[in-house]
Amino acid sequence: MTPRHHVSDDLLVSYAAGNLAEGWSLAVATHLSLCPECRNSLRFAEGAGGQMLESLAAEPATAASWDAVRARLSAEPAVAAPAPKVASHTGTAVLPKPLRDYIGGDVDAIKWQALGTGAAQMRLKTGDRETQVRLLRIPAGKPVPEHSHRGRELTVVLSGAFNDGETLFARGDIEDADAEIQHIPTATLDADCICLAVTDAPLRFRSWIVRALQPILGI
Amino acid sequence: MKNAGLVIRMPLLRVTPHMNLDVSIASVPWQKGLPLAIGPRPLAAKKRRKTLALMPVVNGTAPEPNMSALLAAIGRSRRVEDFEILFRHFAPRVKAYMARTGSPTSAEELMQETMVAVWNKAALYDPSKGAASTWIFSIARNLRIDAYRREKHPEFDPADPAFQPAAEPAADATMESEQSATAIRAALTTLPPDQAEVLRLAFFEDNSQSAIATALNLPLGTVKSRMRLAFVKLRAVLAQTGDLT
Repeated sequence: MTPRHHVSDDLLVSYAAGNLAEGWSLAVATHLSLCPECRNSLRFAEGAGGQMLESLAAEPATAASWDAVRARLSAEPAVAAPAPKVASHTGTAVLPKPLRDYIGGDVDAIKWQALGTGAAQMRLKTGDRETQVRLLRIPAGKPVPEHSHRGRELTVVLSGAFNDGETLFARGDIEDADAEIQHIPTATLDADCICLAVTDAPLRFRSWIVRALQPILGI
Repeated sequence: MKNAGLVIRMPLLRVTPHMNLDVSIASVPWQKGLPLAIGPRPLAAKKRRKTLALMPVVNGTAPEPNMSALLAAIGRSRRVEDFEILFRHFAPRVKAYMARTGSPTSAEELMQETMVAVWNKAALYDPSKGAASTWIFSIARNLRIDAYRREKHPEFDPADPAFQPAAEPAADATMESEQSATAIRAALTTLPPDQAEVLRLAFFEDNSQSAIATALNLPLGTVKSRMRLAFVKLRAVLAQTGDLT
């Protein structure tokens, strides 16, 4: 089954343009792995990027530029054409690859940190200072632990499902919530729900020392 | 000289780090308040004979290499002569793209990185997945993110066991990338200026949504909705041509 709740167009355009912070991009890439429909839209958004690149009319490249590149062509090995797609999709994985790359493995590699309410989280580190990225595990039938976010919150369901009001979010679905929305997502009764949650980074310390240490402290 | 026909159009100079050879930036139509105008596409001259089969002749106008077919051919044959044609076309554009966010020196370096990556990865290019310009844009974009922001651009991988393939892969494969590229280009020219402006800032200036909002003195919600409207409009134009279902 493919997702029913999709990435909004403004996020997709920003992702295609390459100016979405890494944390948001990870949520988008995770959804894209599970959603053929949004991959089709992405191809189109990147096509717009390609056409805009074409529209950057420019003078011919200089002889020196070509000579410099020409000199590097034979020296570096070529990437081989991909093998025919026979071996793919034979294995199984719960987490899509973009996410596994951050965790270093699949669900069994997640280092859960208890949140006290039966829920657990694992924080993921990215290169941006704008977002906070975490995996959340919500026990079946329980609500997502209280969390505040000032701006946007993206949640991608990886296993299980949750209800937010009347709306069901299952594997691959992405929920895009504003700060104004008061919501209490609750895991469905049948299974624990694992999801990726990305929010605006919550803490802005005034002290530059603390700010400098933030990435090291992981806060 | 192998390509005398090209050399006469260029200064015979060596690049030094202080020279800004990219005089083209000032002549980009968008900077003159003509959003999304499609600029002239200078041809890589004189080399055309060798790849004649790749070049559709359109209504008596000068034939232009089909860059997507050319790139796919480079992936198979790895002919440097073909790559030079591709380079003459894309390198100045990639450099202009890079120069939007960095110094001319780093723009030149990043352009070269991009074009070398294009050469090295050419065998991975699949013309049924998009035009050459789209593919090269995504390589340039990822290098720019890495160079200027030190961030990654997480991407899906079709070989991922968790990957959810499309139910009807045939529908994807039938799309003609060049045809669709032409439709996208036409659609871009029909956007209202305010939407075109937001797209331009997003794609070229490496601006986040909130930075665009600040630059244009608009609420963030307005920037988001203009992006959405632009995208919906492009999609509608493309749906009419039957390229996107």
